[in-house]
Amino acid sequence: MQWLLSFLYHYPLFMAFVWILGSFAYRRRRIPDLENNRPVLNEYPRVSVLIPCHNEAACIAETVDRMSRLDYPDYEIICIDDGSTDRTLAILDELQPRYSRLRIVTLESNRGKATALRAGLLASKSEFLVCIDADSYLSPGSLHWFLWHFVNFPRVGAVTGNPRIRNRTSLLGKIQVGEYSTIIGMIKRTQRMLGKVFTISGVAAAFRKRALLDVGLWSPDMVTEDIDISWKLQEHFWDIRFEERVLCWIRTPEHVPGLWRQRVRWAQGGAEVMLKYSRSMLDIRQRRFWPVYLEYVVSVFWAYAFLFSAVLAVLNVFFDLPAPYSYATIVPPEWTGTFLALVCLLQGAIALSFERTVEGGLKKYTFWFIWYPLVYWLLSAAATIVGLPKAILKPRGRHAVWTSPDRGL
Amino acid sequence: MKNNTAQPDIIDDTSLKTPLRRGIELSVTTAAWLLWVYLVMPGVTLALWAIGIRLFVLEQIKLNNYQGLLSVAGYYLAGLAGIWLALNFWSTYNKSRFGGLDRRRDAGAVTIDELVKCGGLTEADLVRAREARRVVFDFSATTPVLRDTRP
Repeated sequence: MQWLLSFLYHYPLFMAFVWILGSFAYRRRRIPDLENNRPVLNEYPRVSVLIPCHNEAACIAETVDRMSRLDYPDYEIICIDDGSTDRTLAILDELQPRYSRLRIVTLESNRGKATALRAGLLASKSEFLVCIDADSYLSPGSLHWFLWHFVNFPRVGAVTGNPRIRNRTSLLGKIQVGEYSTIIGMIKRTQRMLGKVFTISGVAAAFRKRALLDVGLWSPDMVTEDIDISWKLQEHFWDIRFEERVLCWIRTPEHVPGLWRQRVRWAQGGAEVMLKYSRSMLDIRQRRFWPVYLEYVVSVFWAYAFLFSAVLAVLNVFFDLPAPYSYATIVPPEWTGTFLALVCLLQGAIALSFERTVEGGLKKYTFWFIWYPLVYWLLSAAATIVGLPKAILKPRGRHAVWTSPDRGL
Repeated sequence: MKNNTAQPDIIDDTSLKTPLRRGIELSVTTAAWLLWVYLVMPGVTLALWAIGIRLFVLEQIKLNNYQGLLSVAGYYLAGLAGIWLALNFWSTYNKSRFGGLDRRRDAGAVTIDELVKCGGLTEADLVRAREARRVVFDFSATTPVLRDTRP
């Protein structure tokens, strides 16, 4: 069983190396002329910003206000009220006379985000759709960056932005600032450099309408429509780009139950996609997907190996287990713990140096970042352990509807 | 012109937390740092031994304690080199095979006919929905139904 223990400690270390080196490689590929200067486009096609809302009365007014202040010449805002039972629709009605760009689409009953986006697409008048959540908003120049990819590269089907956390009061908020600033950004950069991304960020993504039609739009029965559409598009050889300069300001849960529900849903969505696309991974034409798929499968295995090992470690305290199962300690053996701890710190420092170019003022949160490696790995593992059976046992063909988690203090 | 001219309203307000919660969060994070220090301690110890050269020579060289570090570090360096080579090989392959190659021609704007086929609405309803400022859909059946529009 020594190999299992070795795998448990070396896999996170190995992946940390991959994300660090991958991010450096991504950095080398950046186009220096552009850097943070907003790109000038030959044309500025109309853009439709889709905002699905389900019981978003607390934040929709702020979102509409912020989104109406983007400095792109030609865009419309379409809020899709997905059968809200609070005052969301009434607020939107009040807002409409004040915001000339605002259009409202109503679904008579709650059908889930995928269906809401589909309704928005049908009502939209443009070839490019930008989708955000109702509690988030984009930085002013974002549409320029999204459109730069679409206008210059016909094979780009989607572009995903860079989510940044607004609510940072509690420890959970601060930990997630660390997580989004370090691991998530590094993963996206590395995957982009490798050619395929595991998922766009559903909270900030732009799509070419033709690409969406080509793959049959979003799947209403998938619990994470963003992961699914990412795989659909790339399976049909549409390119997905990560644009770190599109900043999307989001709210994240600051209570443990809300965070847990969110992460289990993400894990379930990842597992659903892993199962759904397992067959197409056998196709040689999908070879660029293999590293992303393999990494996901191994991380699921890691989660269950971690559970198995933890159970053995606890049993070992109370019982005298036979030799192969008698773990003396759960502390990383020999120098492994030292390397793991140092590499995590190094990863955080490198990621922060990258992120500094897009968001300043992160340094003051570094004291709290120490939690992120522990929380990230343990929470991800626990959510995966729960999410996989949920994905396997989920009834097929039912619309996936869910309620937004809490939005912090 | 810079991309991020308007700053977001970051919500980081300690008055939203009770003193108890502030205390707990500070304590547990300090504890997490202590755990990290504990994990890093062998490295720190090694550095301290290095400062006291004689003890360093005795403990690390004469008693061969550095062997463990060297073998682990050797594996990790080899691993790093392997990862770097693999990532670069894969990205170079991607770039040479697919970079700058646009086999997908711009197919132009999506037509109303295509949207009708994909969306499940009639052409007249689709046109109405696209022009209206207020649209009501019913998605309870397999295909959507346009219930109402307002200019």
